[in-house]
Amino acid sequence: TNHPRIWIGVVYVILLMLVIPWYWPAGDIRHYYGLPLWVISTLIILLITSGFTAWVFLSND
Amino acid sequence: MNYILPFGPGAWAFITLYIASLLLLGFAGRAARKENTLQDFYLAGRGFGFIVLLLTLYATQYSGNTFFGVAGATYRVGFGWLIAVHYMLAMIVFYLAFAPKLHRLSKVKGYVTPTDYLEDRYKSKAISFIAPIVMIVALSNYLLAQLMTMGRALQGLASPEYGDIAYNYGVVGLALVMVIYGTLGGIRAIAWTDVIQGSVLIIGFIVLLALLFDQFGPLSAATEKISSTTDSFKIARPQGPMLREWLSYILIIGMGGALYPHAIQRIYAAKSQRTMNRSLALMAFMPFITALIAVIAGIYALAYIPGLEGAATDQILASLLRIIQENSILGYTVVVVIFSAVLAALMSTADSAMLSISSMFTKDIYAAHVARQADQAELTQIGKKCSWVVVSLLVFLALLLKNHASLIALIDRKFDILVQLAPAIMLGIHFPLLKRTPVFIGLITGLIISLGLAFGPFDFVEAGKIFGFHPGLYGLTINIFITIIGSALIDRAKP
Repeated sequence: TNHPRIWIGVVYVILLMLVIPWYWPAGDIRHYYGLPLWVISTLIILLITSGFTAWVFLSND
Repeated sequence: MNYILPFGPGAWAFITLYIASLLLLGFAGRAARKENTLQDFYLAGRGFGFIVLLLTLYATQYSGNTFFGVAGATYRVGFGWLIAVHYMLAMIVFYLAFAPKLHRLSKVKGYVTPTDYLEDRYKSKAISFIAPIVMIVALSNYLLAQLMTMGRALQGLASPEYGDIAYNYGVVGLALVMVIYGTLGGIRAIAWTDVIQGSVLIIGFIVLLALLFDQFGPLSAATEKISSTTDSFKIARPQGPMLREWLSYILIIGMGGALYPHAIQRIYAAKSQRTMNRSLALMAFMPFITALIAVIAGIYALAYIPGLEGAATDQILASLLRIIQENSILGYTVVVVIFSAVLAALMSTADSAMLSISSMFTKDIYAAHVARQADQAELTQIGKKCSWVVVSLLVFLALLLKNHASLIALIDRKFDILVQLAPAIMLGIHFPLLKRTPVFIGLITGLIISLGLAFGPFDFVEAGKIFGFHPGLYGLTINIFITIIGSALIDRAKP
């Protein structure tokens, strides 16, 4: 029963690393429909995090 | 009042109807009471269904800060304040760490306050004494900030010569309405008003986004406009130090927000675990229709109302609304809707904090240390009186601190102290190994380090943070270390 918890924890650590846009070039002000590209990529990862969180809650003994 | 605020009879009729509906729900909550007990008054007999639980969690979690603070911070730092979406989502993620199991335990053991769980888990008088004090101090600070923002909301709309009077009306009037329906119907009335307030809040945010597009044009035009000014760095990805702050905010608000006592009591009040899981699953998407819209509002203000500094930046939402009201045919009507949404955000958070403080004072302090033989009806009465006393004191403080907003910033360390409860609650619920003595020593050490770093005369503390991290996280690190190592040593020393 502990396996799923460890797996979920590992996924969250990976998402935490991705949700902070340290890997995006500093000073880049390109934007798409007003949202900077680094904001769009961060929002996509946030949405994935929300979806994953919802799935974990809905599948939760 | 007409001469103080720019509202006509129609607007006042709408706002009066709105406030009357809240008071009516207070009476309805009282009529729906099943028994005169703390369980009924503070947890509604643990009967919250999916919609009520979702909207009461939503209306409580999104406070006046979501409207004013997030938009103002975005104005100051630009898209870097996207972190507001992160930390609102982080709260829901941290619920995963303890909410499902805590809900099941609360059903079996009949917990009313967070301290009931700690008492049951550790059976330590020291932990049960210090924990409610930590939570009451943190929540009182939070409630005071909401009351002051109520005043500021009216002050921002009033003409300058009536600003002070509008502030007083805002603080006293709304606090009075809140304490009446809160003490009449308890958590039942507060949750029902949250259904109205949560709905108004969602509509308000969506209407705000539509109005911004209608009044100022597409977001791309606002971003282009900022790009061509000296503020263009506010479009770019934040630099390293700011990204460290991002990580700090995710951890401290994520954990601290999940440990808000009024939020934990909503976990207790859920009808079933399935209901709670469904509500929290949907809450994971709410930052995108609230915090993100507040960030976008801040970007519009930065583009079209440039040059503001300091405290004025926290009023930029009111400034945007004033422009919309003056220039849009529908402006007046929708500004009233958004103003109602602001009231909803403030009152729905403040009333929950008020009731939670009253429950902890009544059950964890009065019943535990003063009147151990008191019956449930007497305790419920004490809880109601406590609400009146707490709100009266905080209203007095809010009026006293009217022109000292910086004092609020100074005492805004609620998350630094709340997160010190994380090892006891989040780790303690999963690991029977954790012992009460190291948990207590860790908690006290964490509090001393956090407050010492925050208020001490240290050169290395910049803007309330050290190397970009909140003092509370340094305290929490030592707290966790003491809790785990101490518990392991005690376990090993056993014969």
